[in-house]
Amino acid sequence: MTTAPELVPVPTEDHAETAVYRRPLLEVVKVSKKFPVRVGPLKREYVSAVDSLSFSVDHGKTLGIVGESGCGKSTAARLVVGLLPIDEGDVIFDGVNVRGPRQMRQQGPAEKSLRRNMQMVFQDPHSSLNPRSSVGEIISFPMKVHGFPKEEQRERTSWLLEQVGLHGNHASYYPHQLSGGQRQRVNIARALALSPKLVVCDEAVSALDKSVQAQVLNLLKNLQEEFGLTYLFISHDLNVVEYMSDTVCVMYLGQAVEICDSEGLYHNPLHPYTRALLASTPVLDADAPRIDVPPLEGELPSPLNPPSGCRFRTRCPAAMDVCAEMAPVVTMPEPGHRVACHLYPETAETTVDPDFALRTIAAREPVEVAV
Amino acid sequence: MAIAEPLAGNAAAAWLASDSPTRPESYMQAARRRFMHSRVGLVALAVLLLLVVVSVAAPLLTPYDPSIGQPAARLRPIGSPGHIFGTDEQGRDMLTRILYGGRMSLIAGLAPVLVATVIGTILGSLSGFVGKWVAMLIMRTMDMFYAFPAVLLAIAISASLGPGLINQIIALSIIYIAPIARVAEAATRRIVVAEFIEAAKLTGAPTWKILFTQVLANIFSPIFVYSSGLVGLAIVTAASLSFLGLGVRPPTPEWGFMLNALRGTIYVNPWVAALPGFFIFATSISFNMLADSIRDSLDVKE
Repeated sequence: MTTAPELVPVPTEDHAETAVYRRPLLEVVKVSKKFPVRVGPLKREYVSAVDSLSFSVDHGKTLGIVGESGCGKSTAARLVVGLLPIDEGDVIFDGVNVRGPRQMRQQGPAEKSLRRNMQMVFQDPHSSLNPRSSVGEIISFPMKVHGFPKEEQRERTSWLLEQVGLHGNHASYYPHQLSGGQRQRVNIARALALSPKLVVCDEAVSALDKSVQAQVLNLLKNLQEEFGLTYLFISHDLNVVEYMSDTVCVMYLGQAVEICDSEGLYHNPLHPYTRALLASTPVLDADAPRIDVPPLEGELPSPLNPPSGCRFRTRCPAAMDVCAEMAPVVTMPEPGHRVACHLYPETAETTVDPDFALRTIAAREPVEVAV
Repeated sequence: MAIAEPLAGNAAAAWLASDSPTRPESYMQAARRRFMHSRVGLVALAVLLLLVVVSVAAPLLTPYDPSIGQPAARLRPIGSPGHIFGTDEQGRDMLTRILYGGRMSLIAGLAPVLVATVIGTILGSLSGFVGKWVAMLIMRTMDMFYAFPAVLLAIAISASLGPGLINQIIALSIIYIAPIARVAEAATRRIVVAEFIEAAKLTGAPTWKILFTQVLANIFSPIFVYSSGLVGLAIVTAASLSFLGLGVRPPTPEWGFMLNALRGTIYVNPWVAALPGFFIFATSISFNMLADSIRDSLDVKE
């Protein structure tokens, strides 16, 4: 897996055909996941946790996923890294299809190198570290599994600790002797132990105090710069996602409703859900333009039987008759800004290739021009 | 001492800044320190150690033979000259029999629990970790053992294997596997949802490695507490088996069997008749208290 990523022309409509682009590091294509729920002694129903989710992340970039709790963000993260099997769809990592339906793990060396390249930073600083292991044991465990020599394990562990702003001596501490922020740093060090290309951060700072959050976010940014990491950054906190992400994907009830580069999304949200989310976010800047949208009413509908048509229509201030009848198609009312909403009907200018709907991210730099 | 706090902070910072090899207290060191501060645990440990030592050293401590009595000196009360604990219905020195009996009782109590803990932990943690059909197979099999009253099952197994200490241990091990497996399974299921298990899975580590390195240390304390409570029970059950001729055979002394044999003399010499029971009680409660305080010292309080 050390071969250079292939360079392929990406059939996106927003770029000239002559340019050749580097393939995204991670492509998630129409991934769905349903969980069985027992509703009677013999009857089962299915909760659709993630429904036809597509996105992609370029090398060295960050894709943020935002949404209310219960919208399928964490499930999406676990589907990508392979902690949960996928029902439908594909995950393509570095040009290789690594996870398909019913295929939890690849076999042999391919899986092993995949494991090295995809790691995760977990949410809960308490349950993500084994209380019975020292920090050193926690960080060196992935290296042990991958057969690093003892000496290298030890050296790399203290090097990693220094990279995340701790001291090498912290290796002999136990998790309960550390603060929440320090634990999250250990969590990050463990994720980096195998030098991954992709790090999935599942609510990595949600459990921390604001001041500590800022430190950890900056640490993540610095590490990204230094090691060329690619992040899939999942959070319910819009401010945090804006700070971290190049591109943001807004999820509602298992579906992506809007994908855009973070600048465009925060200044010009298109989907009514995104608008409501942004309007409900406290802003410290008194001069900041306010989005005048009434706050969201009601609860997230049960994913057991989601609303017909557009899933957001039950809480949408702009709901129309058509919303109940059919699910909206993904359109691109502005360059690189995709949205799934009936307010933005499909026309010749806004149409998006359905295969790439909500998938490719906007800012793509050509690396080479074909003849 | 208002400045105590900042000083401590600075000291910690200074230690971190230096490349000093000093380590903070390790997990086991902390557990040992906490245990050394628990009075109940230390007393229980001392009682158990004393019992083990005197049982092992029995021949050095008493001049009598545990299986030969003097018919003339039957049923002497406690405190009789030459027989501090009196004599039993066959005129055998009670102290001698208690000391020798301790050997059998401790073996009969500890060995089955030890065997059952090892097997039950493996089965339970595997079942709790893997789930699905593996759990179905293992736990439903365990449920089958629950369908029989434990003592009856032990009698049935002992009877089919034949009398003797080893067979008794096998029978008792089998009946304790099921409850220990249940405790282990419940503890494992609580732990497998933790994110550090997901992190371990993400490294691509094989299941057995995750079980041994991540799960086992975390389910140890509930299993340990439960198992040590079984020791007292195992001693009593072993006694019942002996009474039925399925365990240690008379005249070899064993606390449970002695208790049964002295039943008839309870109106004649109640204190002597109760002695084996007192030792079973003391052993059992010491194990429970030791287990409790070890659990407390192992507990990492956040």
